[in-house]
Amino acid sequence: MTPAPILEARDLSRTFRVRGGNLHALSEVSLSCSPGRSIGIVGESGCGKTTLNRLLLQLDRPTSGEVLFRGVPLPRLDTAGRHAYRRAVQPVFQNPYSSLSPRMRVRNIIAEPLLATGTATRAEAWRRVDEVLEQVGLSARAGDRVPSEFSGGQRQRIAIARALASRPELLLLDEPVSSQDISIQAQILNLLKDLRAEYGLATLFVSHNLATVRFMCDEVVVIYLGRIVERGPAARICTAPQHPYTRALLAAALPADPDAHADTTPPMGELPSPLSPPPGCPYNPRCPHARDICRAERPALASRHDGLVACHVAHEGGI
Amino acid sequence: MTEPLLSIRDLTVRVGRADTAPAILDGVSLDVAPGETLGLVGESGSGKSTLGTAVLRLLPPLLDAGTTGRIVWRGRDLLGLPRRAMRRIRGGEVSMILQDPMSSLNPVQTIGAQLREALRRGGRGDLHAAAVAALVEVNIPSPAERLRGYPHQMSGGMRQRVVSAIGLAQDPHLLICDEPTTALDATIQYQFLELLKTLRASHGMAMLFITHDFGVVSRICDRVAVMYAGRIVETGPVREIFARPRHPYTRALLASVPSTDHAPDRLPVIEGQPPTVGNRPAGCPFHPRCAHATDRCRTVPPETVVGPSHLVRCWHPQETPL
Amino acid sequence: MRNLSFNFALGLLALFVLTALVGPYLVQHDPLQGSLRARLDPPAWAEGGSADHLLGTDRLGRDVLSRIVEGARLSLAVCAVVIGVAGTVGTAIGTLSGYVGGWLDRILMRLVDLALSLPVILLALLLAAVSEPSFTNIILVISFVLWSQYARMARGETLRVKNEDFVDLARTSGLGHARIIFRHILPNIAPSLIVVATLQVGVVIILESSLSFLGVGVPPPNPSWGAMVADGRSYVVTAWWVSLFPGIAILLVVMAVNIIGDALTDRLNPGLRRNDG
Repeated sequence: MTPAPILEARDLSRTFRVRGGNLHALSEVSLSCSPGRSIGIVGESGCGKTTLNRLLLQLDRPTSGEVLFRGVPLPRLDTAGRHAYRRAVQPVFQNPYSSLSPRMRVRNIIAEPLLATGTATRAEAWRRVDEVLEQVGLSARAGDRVPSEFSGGQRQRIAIARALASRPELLLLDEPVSSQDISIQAQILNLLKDLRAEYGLATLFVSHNLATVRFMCDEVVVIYLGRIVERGPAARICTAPQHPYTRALLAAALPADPDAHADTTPPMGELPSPLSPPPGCPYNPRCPHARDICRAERPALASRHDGLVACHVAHEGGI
Repeated sequence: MTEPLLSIRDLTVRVGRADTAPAILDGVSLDVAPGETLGLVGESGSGKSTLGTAVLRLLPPLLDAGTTGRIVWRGRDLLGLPRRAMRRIRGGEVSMILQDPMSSLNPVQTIGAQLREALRRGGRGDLHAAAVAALVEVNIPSPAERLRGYPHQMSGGMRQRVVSAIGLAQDPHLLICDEPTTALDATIQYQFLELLKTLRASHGMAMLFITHDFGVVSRICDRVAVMYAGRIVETGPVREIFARPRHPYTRALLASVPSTDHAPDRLPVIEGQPPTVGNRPAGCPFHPRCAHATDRCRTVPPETVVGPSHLVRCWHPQETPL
Repeated sequence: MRNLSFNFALGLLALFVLTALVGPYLVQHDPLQGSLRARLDPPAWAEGGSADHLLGTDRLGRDVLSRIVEGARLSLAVCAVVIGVAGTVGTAIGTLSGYVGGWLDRILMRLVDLALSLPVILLALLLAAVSEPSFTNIILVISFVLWSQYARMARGETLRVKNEDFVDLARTSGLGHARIIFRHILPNIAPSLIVVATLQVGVVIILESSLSFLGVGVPPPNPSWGAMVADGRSYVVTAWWVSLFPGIAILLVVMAVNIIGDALTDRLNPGLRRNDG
């Protein structure tokens, strides 16, 4: 039996009204984050992964569907429940320059989640700040400095320290390394993995990079044009993807090997406008395997092997 | 061996004229043969973009004044060339595409106007027909319609293809690509790299491909030069570098990239951070972060030939294959 | 060169503030008390002048130097109160407008447009017509004209800062809107507002002087610099010192704050300097 999920998304949809119509940023996305599990969300720009992250953080409200914290829908949490949610779910964003206020000392930045929900006294908070600073590989003295004194990699460590301060259960990591140099990326990824083991954290790792997700996650959810097209164990998704889009993503994740095999399913075409998504399967205009049914009817997300896939062709026996 | 198209010798770029001014590039030498694609890999601050910009003499005045060495283009030293002659080479024989296609295009001019301008300088006859042909060549659908459109009406991938069409308008011998795919999504990057390969073959041009991504390098480059803190630390044929990297930095960097093929528990990392310009350590700039460093590394290592056109700048080149 | 003028301006401004604060205790004459025997005495170095009245006296025999010193105090007080009032009101409206957005933003910004389109002198004359000139009136009029500039700046800056990730992070930590505004928005928009405030010192002094010159400003016999210039204008030929010295005082202070304001703009506008990548 799996333990009760910390955070759960049920049929989340978010539509933005823009000039020219409705933009379906996210459609009917369901997933759940359970203790100790690490889920990767993979997709390209405009696929809705950032919208999903914002909905899970209650920075935005879904057009339909709901987000539940320990079984309670977010809008229905009482004050104590809301505080518990804010402590338990902590984000780390992509850009460490934008995520640290330039006019605050590192100590106050990290202590903010502790002091905001009134869980710690100042003395306790300062002790915790020193503790998490050392855990992310910085010295406690860093607390007295301001963000501009740190490099991008160090800033991201500070952002991670802040996320850890309230002893969370779930980290929502939105492209936490993609603005970093390669040598720094590896450092941060290792650090996140260590911390996850140490705290027994659940993580939701949003990324455009399949290789990073493979390294970080047990399970992968692939999103295209706001919909889940495939999900399954990370290792299988990266070796035997079922959905043609996942195959294209895998082919596009260029290995550092000049003798890598030629790709059977090279990516084609461009992302259609999310204002007028194609009828049927959202991927059909770019799909080398598209048939008539793909243009007429949207495939349901149904189980296949050890995962889920939304593809007519895959369901009819594979590609 | 054929005469190199571009031959850079001992190129140093300092922030200002003074000998003591911090150097962004420190004694860089490299050759690009006709039709060859040389990858220039490094992290931010390694000087790779400065190198690309220096070849076109487009550095800001302070850095241009601090540029010494030789940049020999088809027998002529570009550093001694008068402005007018340099302008003719720029966009003509040598052209450049940058990371952000939006900033390379004029937002208030139609695609057609910008493309025709480039074609006119290339001395083409029927500009409209040439412009349509140029867009067809970079796989842009309904080209005649697109010519009347503006940059903001296109996707990032399409804009980058327009930028390449403009870059190729005068049939350059060398195309300098500065992280042209970094802002693009993976599937679009894939297609753009394929397009560049086709264009490279049809125009018979050489490329200087600046990137931080080893995946991109292995896809498109013939040779690669790895840069660290303003120096080239290792250079050689792509296959050789990937199979038998000799410099500890190249090895560590290659090892630290996650792969879709397997998921280790931990990634091998390079501890510390790349030094900033002005704070670079003496000797081999990598020695404070290097697992193999000895006292000797405090002096500048010589360039050692370790294989067919495989050079490494290290006192302790590693032997084992990666 | 740039530094020289900046230091010079800073020195001038310091002198102005110091004069306003302690000057009145040092001068020998009561700035309001005239002496009929000493009417329109020239400055000490001119023919007929005496060391007793260094910069001469006005038509009521009041000491010009003492009045300029007292006028500095008055100008500083007007500046402080106006910038305090206009700054607080404008910043509050602008920040709220930018932070909340939507219809509130549209209403508040129309209000700003309205305030910007009102003719200030006319407004002052109107107010003077319905009530006696008073200290309160002049502060109200000038504040009413100037708050909109803070509102504009505060709104624009709030819109910029609001989109930074640290504001979202504060929300995910459970911070309320009020604390987000006070802890994250205001400290980050403050530098730009300080620039506005500095540049406005000059505007306030000029406005106050103009209004006083027109007789609808600081009520007599208070020695406003503007009123002093106005006072002396009938004797410009015969007793030039009555108008000239307060005029020079206005010129120097306004010039000084503008130089300082420009320098601050240069330094603070790159503001949150970033080096992505």
